[in-house]
Amino acid sequence: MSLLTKNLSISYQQRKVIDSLDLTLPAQKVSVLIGSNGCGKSTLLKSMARLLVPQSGAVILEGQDIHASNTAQIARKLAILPQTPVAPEGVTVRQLISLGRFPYQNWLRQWSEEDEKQVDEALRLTDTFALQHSSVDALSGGQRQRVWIAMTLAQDTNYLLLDEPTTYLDLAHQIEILELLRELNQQQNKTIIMVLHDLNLACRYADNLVAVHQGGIYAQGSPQEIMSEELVNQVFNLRCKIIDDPFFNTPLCIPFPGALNANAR
Amino acid sequence: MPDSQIFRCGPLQREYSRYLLPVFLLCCAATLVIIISALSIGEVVFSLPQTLGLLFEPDTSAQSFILHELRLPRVILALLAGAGLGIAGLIMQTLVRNPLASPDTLGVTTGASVGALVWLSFFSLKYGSAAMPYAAMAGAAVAVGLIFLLSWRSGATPLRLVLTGVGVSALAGAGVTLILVFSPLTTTFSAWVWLSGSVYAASWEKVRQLLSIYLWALPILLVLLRYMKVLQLNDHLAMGLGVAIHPRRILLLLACVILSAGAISLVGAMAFVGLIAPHLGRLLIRSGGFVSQLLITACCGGCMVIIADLLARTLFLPADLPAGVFVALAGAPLFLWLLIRQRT
Amino acid sequence: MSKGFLSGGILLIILAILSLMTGPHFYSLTQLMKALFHSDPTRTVDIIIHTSRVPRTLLAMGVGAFLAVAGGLMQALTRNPLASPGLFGVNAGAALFIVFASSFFAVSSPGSSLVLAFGGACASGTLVWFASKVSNGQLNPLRLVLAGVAITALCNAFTQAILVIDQESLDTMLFWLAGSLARSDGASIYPVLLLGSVLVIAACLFARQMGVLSAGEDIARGLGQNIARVRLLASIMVVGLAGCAVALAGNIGFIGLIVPHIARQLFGSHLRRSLPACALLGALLLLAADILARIVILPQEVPVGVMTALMGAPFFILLAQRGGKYA
Repeated sequence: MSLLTKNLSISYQQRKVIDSLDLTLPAQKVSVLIGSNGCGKSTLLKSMARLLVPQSGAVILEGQDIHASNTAQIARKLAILPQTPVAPEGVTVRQLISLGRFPYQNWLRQWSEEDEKQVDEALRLTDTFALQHSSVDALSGGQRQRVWIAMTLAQDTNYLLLDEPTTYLDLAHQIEILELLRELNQQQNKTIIMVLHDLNLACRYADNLVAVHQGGIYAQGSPQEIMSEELVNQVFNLRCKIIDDPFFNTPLCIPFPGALNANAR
Repeated sequence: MPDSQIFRCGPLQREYSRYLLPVFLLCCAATLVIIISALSIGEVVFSLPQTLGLLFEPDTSAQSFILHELRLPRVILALLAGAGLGIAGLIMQTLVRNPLASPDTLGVTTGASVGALVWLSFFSLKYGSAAMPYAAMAGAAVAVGLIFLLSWRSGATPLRLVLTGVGVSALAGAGVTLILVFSPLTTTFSAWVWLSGSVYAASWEKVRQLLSIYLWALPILLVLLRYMKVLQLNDHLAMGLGVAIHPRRILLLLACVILSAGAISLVGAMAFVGLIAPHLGRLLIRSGGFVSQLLITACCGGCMVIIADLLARTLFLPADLPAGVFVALAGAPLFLWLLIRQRT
Repeated sequence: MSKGFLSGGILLIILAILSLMTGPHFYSLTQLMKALFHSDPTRTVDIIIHTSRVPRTLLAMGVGAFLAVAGGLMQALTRNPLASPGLFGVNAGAALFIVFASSFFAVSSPGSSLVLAFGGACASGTLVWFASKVSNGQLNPLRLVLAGVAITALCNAFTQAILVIDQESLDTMLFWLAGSLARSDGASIYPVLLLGSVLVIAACLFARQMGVLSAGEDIARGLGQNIARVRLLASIMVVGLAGCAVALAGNIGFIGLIVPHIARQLFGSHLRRSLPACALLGALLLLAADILARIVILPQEVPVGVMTALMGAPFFILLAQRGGKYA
């Protein structure tokens, strides 16, 4: 049971962003998409969440074409947190998280005990229980991001997709969010797929690293397997040195100034 | 301190904000007070016991006639029109995510104006003005249809609808000016009054007509109202929650069009209500879910028009001025005060 | 670029000549030349050309330029491509002052209505400006739009009220409301045209400063610009230009909204080039609209405001189809 793409092509304003891509993301692991600006990683994530319609090819979730399936049904299996989400004015934390239960509601049953339970659970997991009646506008950046993640958690899905969940957060909050996501993966077996900018944090938290380059996959595998100076040079156009993080045993990238052709020694 | 209550009845399960009941009662009370006042005051003033007496025990006296055949339909029509315009404005502002949106953004007002004025200037002398509301509805339908048709091919996103709406409204506006300038003098003044918005010559027949038009929007609202809270989020979030946003949005906009076109075709081009009533409602009640917002907006819109009509028919006695003139006179300073209050 | 201005200028001259020839009676080129260069005060043709058509043509060019430049400034000031000079409530204020004076004081001479319209425009413009300032004295573009909507509605409400009470004025107001370049007096328009032209030149000289501001507040402040003063000057220019236009010709829409878009497409988005281009294109467009307005339903005239809406709206709808990049 996994999420995969078959021959996926996406164009945006006459430019081919993703070209005939075949990608399989393993279930119950944390996969991180990395790549330089404009390489298409956000576009790839969005089309895997059926937010964008591809020009050709398909995205298959648990054996079914995601674009041909009922969107509410997909919402019960896969949740996505896009970049820069915007909350309506004056809404409380609890009200916002409750929106995550929408895929399970219909006209008759607009709120149930199960919904109540899931919201409480989401509040507990993200440690936002104390904030539940505060207004979302009054929260700090880190708190707000935890609330958005709580909303996707309330959706109670096996797959959680996040588009740059740590941008605009300070380092402490970045670590906090990533630790929370790792916990969700380990304790609840959720499949986490996210786009991250910070290469080193990606290496530390990913089970499966996917380097996206020029509309295709440059390499995919565990950080230890695929991280190399060659990869950073090709994908990011950056000279660097890769060492082993002395505390976490994951690859650590030390960037050097002066891009272009780092291999010329 | 929970702010919602769960309500269960058989298979029906709903969650209601605890503000809902107090808001509902407050709206009912305020509206009743305003209605009774409007019924009592006019060229002939009734005392409170008199008004209540006449209301519940109609007889054949002249005063009863004034109350039941002249004032009551007028007040009810004003209430319904204002409420409908307010609700349409609230839904539009939420869907388009722009506090300046109003039913006219989709060309309803100017389209209806063209329809009504064409009938008034060129057909009413021969066929009378009973059919004018239908001409107005037809005009609104053409304008809105044109907007959707033009936006369809490139995708009917809210922004594109608004921009196209501005263009089509301007075209219709040019049409209105043209008709005003070239219409026969006898009808120019009635056209001007219609364009201001007026509940003059209200009748129970008109109230029935308005209700029957509103009835078409009711099913859409009942079924789709629960989507409003999700449609307030940005598109990708809403899609991620499994909502097919485009058809829902279009249907809700259709409901807006029905409500506002109905109101305008029966009371004239009463501008500003659809724009202001939602803001007034938000000023009074900040939180509490969409249903509370809807109720308070309907109440504000309806009361605004009733009060405007009250002022219009009493301030310059014996002249009976169009209510629409006073809507802006009451609403605009309020709006400006709101704006200035928000200085920080 | 200067090729563009040159061809624009030539087109302007051609249209001006056409405008002088057009009317209920068409005059030939020879008649026109004789009237302009060897004028004979007793010949009817010459009288008509000098008292009616020359002022009208100048008016069309002037008002078109004023509206377009005001629109260009407005869009740069609010950083919103949907802004137009009418947002300052100038049309509504002008209409209110005119109607008020004519109903309560029976003032209706063309000269005084000019002054009244200009006064009304400035009054509402000032009101809008004050209502849109935030607590630290800065002008907020969004509040500007909101305040403009409110004050326009307020002025319109007063105007409607007066016209309902005093029905006689309605007819005379209507043609003004629709926009008209057919002023009955020749002489009093020239001071206003002069004022407007001075403002256009001032705006073009000011263009560089506006360009810096439209890059963004923080960038402008970082470059040492006094933002409040720039905004104030720009607002004064917009109200002045729009006020002149409204006083001269009534309510003409769309020129201020559409021409800046066309100017940006053809001449680039640097204000230093697009503002003069606005002036040229505005003059061209209104002149063309006025010529059409005189021909289309001979012997009657279509109000020129209606003509500009009929020409501008389809273009605007086309813009909307092209994409939401004008968000």
